[in-house]
Amino acid sequence: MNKNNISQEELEEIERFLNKELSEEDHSVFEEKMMIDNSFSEKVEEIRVLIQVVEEDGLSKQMEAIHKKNFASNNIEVEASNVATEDKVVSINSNKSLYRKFAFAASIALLVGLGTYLFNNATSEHEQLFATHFTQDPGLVTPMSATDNYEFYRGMVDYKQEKYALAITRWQKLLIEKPTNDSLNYYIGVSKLTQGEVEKSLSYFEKIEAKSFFYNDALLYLGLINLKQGNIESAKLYFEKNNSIKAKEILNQINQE
Amino acid sequence: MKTKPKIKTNNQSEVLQALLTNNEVVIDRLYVSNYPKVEYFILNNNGNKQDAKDIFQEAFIVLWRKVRGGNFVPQNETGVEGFLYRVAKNKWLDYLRSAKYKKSESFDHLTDNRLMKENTEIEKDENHYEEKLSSAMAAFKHLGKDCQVLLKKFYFEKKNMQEIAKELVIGSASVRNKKYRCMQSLKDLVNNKRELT
Repeated sequence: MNKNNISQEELEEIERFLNKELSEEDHSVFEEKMMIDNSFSEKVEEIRVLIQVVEEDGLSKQMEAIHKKNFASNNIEVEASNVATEDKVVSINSNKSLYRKFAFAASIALLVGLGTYLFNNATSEHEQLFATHFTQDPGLVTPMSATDNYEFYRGMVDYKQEKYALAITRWQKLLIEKPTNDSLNYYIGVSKLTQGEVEKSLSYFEKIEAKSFFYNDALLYLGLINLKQGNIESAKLYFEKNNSIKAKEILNQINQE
Repeated sequence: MKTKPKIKTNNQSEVLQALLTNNEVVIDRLYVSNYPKVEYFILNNNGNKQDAKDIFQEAFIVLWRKVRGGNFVPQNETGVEGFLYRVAKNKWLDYLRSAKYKKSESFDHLTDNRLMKENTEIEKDENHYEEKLSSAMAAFKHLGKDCQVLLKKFYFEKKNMQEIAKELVIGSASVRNKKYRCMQSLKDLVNNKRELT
């Protein structure tokens, strides 16, 4: 079956046509040719399909990459399909182990010394200490509660896109219904802190109870906030309670003064 | 290297324009901001995260094809968002209505005639292309890796000959030839497949 061989020139002209790169006149001539010459229009259609296929393959691969970067979580998927794997710790609260993964990454980031968000002409050493050690929580991939809360989730997307004001607004609406919810208080606190509203973030962290697994990190932030405000003794108490390597490091530096 | 314009706007028509050029930033933003709502719907309707991902990506391709075909007209400011969500929702409901789930009676949506009608229209569009495209897609996957990469740079990433020549460290004349030969190979693969079936 003669499948209409296409020359290089033909291919390139068809490409230009499809990309609307032909002059108005050439474009009309091309279209007319397609209307009267069936085999020609079949050629054009064939190329159009091939190009589309290449594009769609590229699109699929790109979507996979985007998904992996923003939404994939091995732990969650393992739990969802009820398959235990050897090299993954499947905890009862999948979010907890996921959070630990992020907390670990965050502590690495801390060591690298990210966190100059609130470094605003800090004259006192304590403010400098705060600026050096403050780092923003990277955020969760999925909502905390078992009943997936859509609004919370949406807020998390805003948070990850650095739209803190928007995230705060969304979450505060939810907070009206659930004023003691630890996830809400924690992430509103971190968002406010990241925006520089240090005093305002305080009350949110203070609402987090000891049983919450945000508690430990809240302690660290509370320590940092009090440090910045110059409440050294309170800060020390928080750091001692938190007792992480990070906290010990900061305590060391405070005690060296 | 050609720098892609930064799309700051949420203006629908500009977003759609950018989608036509496969603008990375726009695709990323559309994906990230629209996926959660779909995932939420599917998780609350007997699906899991893998389902949500598959359905959403299929819906995204439907959107992309519609924009490509020049017949996507957003009804209002949330046109793209609404479209993606509707398509994903309908695909999922379709799946639930399939033989596997026929026994289940827990969805009120199934009796919503409007939804069912909408679904058929969208399906019609897809089926028209589906066969042609899937055989061409299969052929593309059989193409040599070099050709796949080269064609992707031209047609998906929309790079020009000079850029590609630089990236592949070969002359631009060679690039031009190579592209032609790759397209020929692809064409042959597709046609051979057709002849065999």
